[in-house]
Amino acid sequence: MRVDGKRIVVVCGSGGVGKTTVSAAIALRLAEERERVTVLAVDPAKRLATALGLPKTPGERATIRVQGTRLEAQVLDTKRTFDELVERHAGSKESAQRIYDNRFYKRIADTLSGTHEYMAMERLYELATTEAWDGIVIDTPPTRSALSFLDAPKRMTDFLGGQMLRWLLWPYRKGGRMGLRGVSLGAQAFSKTLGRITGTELLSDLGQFLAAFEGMYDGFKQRAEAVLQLMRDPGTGFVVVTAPEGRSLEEAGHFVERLAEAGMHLMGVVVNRWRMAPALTVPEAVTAALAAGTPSERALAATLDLGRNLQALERRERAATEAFAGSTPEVPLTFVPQLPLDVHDVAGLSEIGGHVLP
Amino acid sequence: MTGTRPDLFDRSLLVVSGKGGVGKTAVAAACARAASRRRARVLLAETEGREGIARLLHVPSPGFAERPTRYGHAVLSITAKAALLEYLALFFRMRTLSRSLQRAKVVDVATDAIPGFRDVMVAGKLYELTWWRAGGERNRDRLPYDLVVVDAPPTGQLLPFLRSSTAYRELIRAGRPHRQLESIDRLLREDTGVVLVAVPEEMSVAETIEAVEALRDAGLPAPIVVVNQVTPPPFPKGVRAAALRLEPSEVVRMLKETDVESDEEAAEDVLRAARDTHVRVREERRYISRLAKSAPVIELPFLYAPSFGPDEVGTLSETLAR
Repeated sequence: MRVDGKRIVVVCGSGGVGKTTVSAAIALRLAEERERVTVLAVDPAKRLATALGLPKTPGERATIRVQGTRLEAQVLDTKRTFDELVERHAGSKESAQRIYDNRFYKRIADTLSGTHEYMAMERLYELATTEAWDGIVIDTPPTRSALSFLDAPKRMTDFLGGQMLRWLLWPYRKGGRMGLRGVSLGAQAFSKTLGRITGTELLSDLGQFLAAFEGMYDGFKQRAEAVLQLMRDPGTGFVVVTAPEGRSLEEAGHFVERLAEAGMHLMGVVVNRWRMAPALTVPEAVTAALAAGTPSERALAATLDLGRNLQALERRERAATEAFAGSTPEVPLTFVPQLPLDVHDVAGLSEIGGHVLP
Repeated sequence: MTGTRPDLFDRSLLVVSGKGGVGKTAVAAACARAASRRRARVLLAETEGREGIARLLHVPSPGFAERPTRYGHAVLSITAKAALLEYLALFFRMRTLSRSLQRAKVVDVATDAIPGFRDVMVAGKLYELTWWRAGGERNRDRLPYDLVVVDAPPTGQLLPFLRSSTAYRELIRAGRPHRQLESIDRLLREDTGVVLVAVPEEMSVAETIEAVEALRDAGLPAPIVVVNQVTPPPFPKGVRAAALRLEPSEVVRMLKETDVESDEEAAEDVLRAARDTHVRVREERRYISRLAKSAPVIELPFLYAPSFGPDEVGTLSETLAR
């Protein structure tokens, strides 16, 4: 895989495939050639964070120094990013405060899917447009599916400006206009039942939340558009990380497809934790005979059995990966071998970086 | 693990959760299969509609209708939307209305946007499948399940899910929905087992311990941790020291005595793989003992199989049934 002068590298993939590690490794490689590089991590593993000197609190920044190279690292703070976004668009301190105090807003990150994804993009946009970085690498939140990541900005603005929701909630809005046109009996009955089932308090909170957002909607929408533009910029590249396993590769395939549809630039797919089996093959009868021998022979039998098991595993992973490669022949694949232990130091990261960007 | 193993299958619900990529669906399926040896009517239900069950067990996609399988248990895919429509039809005679609402996509917006609504609808369906059917006389065509194994939302969303009925019970203070929510709440607190699936890696272990504590703090059922994909020790007892001492030249010599030609490079390769596996196993032991301090632990082995499907689920279920 090659960076080709990309300024922004977005690392994505399904959960548990090693995205944070790969992003940190890429950032480290970039920092060898460029002056000002930052990596934005999302929910890094504790030991990795400690070993790298990542900041302990979300939102804070730390400088990592490795043998003459230097890069900055930060950890995403979803809530703070959202607060800043509200502050920027609210117009006044009072209306911003009204939103902060809303019970629905307080839980928005937990309840509205896509919030973490959108805030990661929002933060990236902030970094890219207001600060002078030569390289920005961003790790993305573990998404349930590839789609939720790219759809997040649209979902968010659709939700905030959603006609359907307004229509449904109009009885609960403070000062909601009576006799709103287009409200059918069915919707009223449903709204009532919904109130009965969910509690009117909750719906009125949601209604007020939407009312508070009303004036900010256009600003939000423009912002989401700008974020999407940045994602489509030729200077922004995407790296999709996957495990050599069917489900994960399938997700990677969805990602690749969606990136192409959305006009975004794929740098390549990283097949992480590739297990290379030892090549030595010995007939099973031989290992069976060795297994009845001296301690050394028994030890050799166990070693050879493990080798055979690893070969079976490699076949399974190779078959899954080849099926993927066959369906997306134009996508460059990069293989990163499984290290014997979890990566939790700079040496491990350098090794991975060398595989990702040779 | 010390002491007697807790019974996984003696409640009406078994909620299986865990972070993405740890094999949650495989463990849930193995639980359902192991349970069906002991209990007559067992259902494996998924709640995210990702067709994980269909793919894993090579069965047709279940949808919102219970389907028998050849594995001794039935399967079902629960969506909040289908559960809401069923609820409206069952209790509010809103069949016609619910159809028109569905067309207008109102239901999508409601289940998407209202906090906890999705969760409480899924929990309500689980109640319907078990307690409600068991107490109902009108529904002789719907037999209750002895156990429903739930391929549940991931760990991060588990707590809101288990508490959704409590939250809604406090919001709705009267009427039939209130009484139903009380029952759902009791089902989730008193007749539900929780399994957290982990893998023996740092991140997963740390998150699982956090989840165990969060469940305890919330007064929810104490979970059992299933550690999935535990690397089997490469060397049997008694030969470990000998194995770690093996030199490539010795390997070549021993193989030559059995008429197998090899070279030192190939021998070094396979020895390194075995040593790496040994190191990995030792690290995994440390992670597992850390987990065992916070909850009862059941281990499932990593399977070196050429594919992962119904047979592998069967292998795991045998470990769970033991």
